[in-house]
Amino acid sequence: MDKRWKIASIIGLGWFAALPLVLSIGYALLYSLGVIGALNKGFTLLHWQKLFTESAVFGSFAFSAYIAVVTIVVAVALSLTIALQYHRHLQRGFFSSVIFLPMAFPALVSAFFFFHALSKSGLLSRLAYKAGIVNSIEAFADLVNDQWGIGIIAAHLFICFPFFVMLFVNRIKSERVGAYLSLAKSLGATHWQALKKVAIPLLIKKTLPNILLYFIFMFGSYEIPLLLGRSSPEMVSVLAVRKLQKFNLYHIPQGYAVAVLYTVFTLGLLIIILRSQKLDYDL
Amino acid sequence: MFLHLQHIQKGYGTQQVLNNVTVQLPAQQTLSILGRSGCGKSTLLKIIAGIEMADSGSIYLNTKDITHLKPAERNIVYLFQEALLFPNMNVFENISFGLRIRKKSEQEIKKQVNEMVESLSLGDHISKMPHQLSGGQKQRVAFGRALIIQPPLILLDEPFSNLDVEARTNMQGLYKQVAKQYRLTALFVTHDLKEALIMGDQMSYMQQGQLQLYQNKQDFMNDEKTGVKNELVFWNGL
Amino acid sequence: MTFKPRYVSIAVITLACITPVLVLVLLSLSQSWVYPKVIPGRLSVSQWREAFRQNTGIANSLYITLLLAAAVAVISTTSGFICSKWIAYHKHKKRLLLLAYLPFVLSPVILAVCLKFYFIKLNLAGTFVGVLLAQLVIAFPYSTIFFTGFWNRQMLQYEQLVKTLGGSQGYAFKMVIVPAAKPLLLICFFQCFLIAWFEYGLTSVIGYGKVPTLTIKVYQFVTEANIYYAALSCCLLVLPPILLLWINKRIIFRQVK
Repeated sequence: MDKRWKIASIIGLGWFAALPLVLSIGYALLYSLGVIGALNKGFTLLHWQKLFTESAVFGSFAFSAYIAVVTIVVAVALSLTIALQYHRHLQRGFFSSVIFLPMAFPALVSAFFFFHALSKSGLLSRLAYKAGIVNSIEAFADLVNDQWGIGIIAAHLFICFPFFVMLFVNRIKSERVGAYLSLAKSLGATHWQALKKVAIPLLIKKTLPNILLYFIFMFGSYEIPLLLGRSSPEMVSVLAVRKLQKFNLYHIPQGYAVAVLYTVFTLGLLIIILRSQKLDYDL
Repeated sequence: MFLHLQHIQKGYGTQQVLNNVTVQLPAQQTLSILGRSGCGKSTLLKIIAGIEMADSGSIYLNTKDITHLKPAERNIVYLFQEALLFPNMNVFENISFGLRIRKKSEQEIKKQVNEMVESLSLGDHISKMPHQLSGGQKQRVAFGRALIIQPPLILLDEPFSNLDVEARTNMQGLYKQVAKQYRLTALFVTHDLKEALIMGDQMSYMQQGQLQLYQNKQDFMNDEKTGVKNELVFWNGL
Repeated sequence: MTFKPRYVSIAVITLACITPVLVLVLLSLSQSWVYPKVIPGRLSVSQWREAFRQNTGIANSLYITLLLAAAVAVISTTSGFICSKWIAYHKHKKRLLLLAYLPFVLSPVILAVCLKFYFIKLNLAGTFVGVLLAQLVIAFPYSTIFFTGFWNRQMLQYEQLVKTLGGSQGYAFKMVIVPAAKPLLLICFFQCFLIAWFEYGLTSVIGYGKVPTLTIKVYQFVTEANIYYAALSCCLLVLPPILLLWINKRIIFRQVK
């Protein structure tokens, strides 16, 4: 390969991938260990101890995992159903255009919309009032800033489900799932048996790396829980940024510790995904 | 000798792919290299073309040492198994590719390409894109693209293996005709015994990285490992 | 009149996808949404005119976001295209891909807070260039991963073929590789553009609020409880991608495989 090409690639990958990673994690780690930073007096594990004993980091990680798992399970189930039932309608026509609309939404806009859709004074509440289901604002359920993260899940679901629909539609075509279904039926399976034993396992197997990658994205989500979450439990990104941006300087080392913990967790997951699967992740 | 390979060695890791390969080929002759998949045939051609580098050994073309020259400097064309027509260019543009690199005038390009197209019976397809052509037509275009720059040596790496029987036979006939017309010097690699015998003026057999050359076709056919004797036994037994 | 369940469910999904766009547009045109009215009231196009004329900063944000997104898209697409070739043909492809994946999968805002110190030291915090460089840290790996699949055996053979026909690497690139990659280059450009266009967390941390992109404006209006200007900014964020998607749906089909 051309030497100049090689040098340019090494510089690119080094400058924009390796170096930022090393610098950011290095800085965060050193700060969390008290080696650098304002108010830090030298190496100490105190901040890490405080993080694990006093702060809500475990709850935060658990909540983030819960949000990511629930969103993905619902998104995969919904989009698999749509892809398998309506894949012909998704090839052309109005429906095939409309289903992509959510992909034009950034997380912040999705959060904004769902706040005004699901809050006590939101669209759903107003419709419920008109339908006579509720008779005042207070009577409407807490669907945003709630302990179950319903608003967060809904906002994530909105922007991720078209991605999964298209992922499955493309896989249905490339893996010739239709042919396998016909084959299964010719061997005596009912439509539901053919779906359950052939199509669904095949599609899940082929898309598992993509699903796991999306789990990682959702785990580190920031904008949606920022607008739709409550102060406890917080998702990991919100927790880290809150500790780092707020005025209490003593929380900053803990904030960096959260960042290091999150990065190690993400790196571990990524290694598992890349090692165990041939990542045909065509972005 | 027009082409002279001396003691070519090539290994990948612990595997020795080419083991002390020596070849001498006179001009205007086609050397058939018969061998099974994975025996090192393609690697040998790639080393001659300059696409890969040998670990040791020398290559002389018309007495010139080309061992360390870049591919573009060797003027040796390598024809891959697939036709590999450039998908963004039609037949005319594909064939004229080498001439454009050599900065020939438009007039000259048009003249030469039209002559080549006629000799390859591609006149009706000159404006077509690659995806509009059949397998045999694509190989003809690939041929034309290679021949038009009059390379001193052509390396053919199983060029007809992807074609059906009829197209293959047509292409073999076309190659013999074109080789005579353009006085080609070529190495023709194949795993098909019959094709090796049809295409080659000289014969060789490759096995586990070692190349054995034969004085004549009779010696080739008499050698057990080439498989000719087994074929004869089979056909005679029917 | 009976409705087939299939068409009912298609209608429901269609409604679910269209409603957010309609709500945003209506809110952006409205000046009041009193409970329990379902449709916002006092709809007027003048809201949009005023937003651009008055000192709301929306017009400025639009220009900044466009410029930023375009710059990120151009730089990351070209550099990712080059770098991905080296990775794709490297013997340690998987390890290098892991290196490319990590900045891409990490939460951009966490990456930003950890890198903030360096941006401050280099006087890049709160600057357009600083935000651009920060966004490249996520867009460039994306582009690299995107193109790694393009560099297959056939592309390698095309390059080798051009060399044996007498052409240089540059010639192969210009005449064969780039034309073959054109559709992917466009898709990647579009995707990287959207990454920068949509980005909030990283922009707010590195930009310090001094690089007011549209997403920063949305958050600003939300915290000011000005939902109408927030909705307007949301429309500006959402409508161009919708238009692009409508023009070329294949971009989305190709986006996921």
